[in-house]
Amino acid sequence: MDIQFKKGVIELCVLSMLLEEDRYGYELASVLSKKINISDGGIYPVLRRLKAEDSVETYLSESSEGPPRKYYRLTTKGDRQRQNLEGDWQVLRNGVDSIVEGG
Amino acid sequence: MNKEQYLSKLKKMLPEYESQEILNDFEEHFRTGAEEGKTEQEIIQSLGDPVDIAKEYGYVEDKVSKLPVGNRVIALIGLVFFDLLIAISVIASLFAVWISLWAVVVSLVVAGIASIISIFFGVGPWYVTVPGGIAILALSVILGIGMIYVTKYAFKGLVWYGKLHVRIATGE
Repeated sequence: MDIQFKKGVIELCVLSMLLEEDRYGYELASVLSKKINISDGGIYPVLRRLKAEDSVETYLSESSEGPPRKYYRLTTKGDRQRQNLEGDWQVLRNGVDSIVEGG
Repeated sequence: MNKEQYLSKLKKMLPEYESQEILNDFEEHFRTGAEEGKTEQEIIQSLGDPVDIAKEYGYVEDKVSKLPVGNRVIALIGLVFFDLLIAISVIASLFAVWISLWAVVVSLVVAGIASIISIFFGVGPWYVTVPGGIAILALSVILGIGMIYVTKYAFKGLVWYGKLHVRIATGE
């Protein structure tokens, strides 16, 4: 898969997952690797980039076991970005579907 | 590969100013994985190759450390030949120049002092020998300060060149 394309898709997935609730890295990684078959390690560069762009913010929160975990929260800017990416994704998906189904 | 090896391999490819923060994320990943009952090997397996991860952060592996042992030996032999044929004679010449310049500084100090104290021996008119001596001393101070800097940087350069051998030999 084209690397830029893949980055965009992963970003959309991460931002959408954060829309429901704040999550920590491991959680995001395990859902993504289960559903779209990417390696767990690939999520952290994406999270760091999203944070650098102020699309997400982080905070530490106590975990039931062991030291606190770093949680990721969607920002307003991040939500705008999520909407844009989702729009792109819908357009792309419809286009691909219509070609594949011979519309 | 265990957790420590995995993390240190990743760390080597990241610039120092952000490696700690990134490694913290991966430490947490290992910790959480362990809490969920995964073994270190399973976690490493699902994380993927550290080289790929570093690339996604925008960094590529350091080229020198990637050199296989054979190439490092050849590079080191080449460097030693360079030392024997060129570097040693260049360093020796520069060393001779350095000694000579310090000798000039010392001579100027001696000449300046001699010129000033010559008034006790009535060699020349005092209004020539005293200001002349002071001027020569001032010159020696300026040159001396310059030489202190030259010495400092020459020493640094020499240390850097010496360390280059170690860096090539170890592939760091």
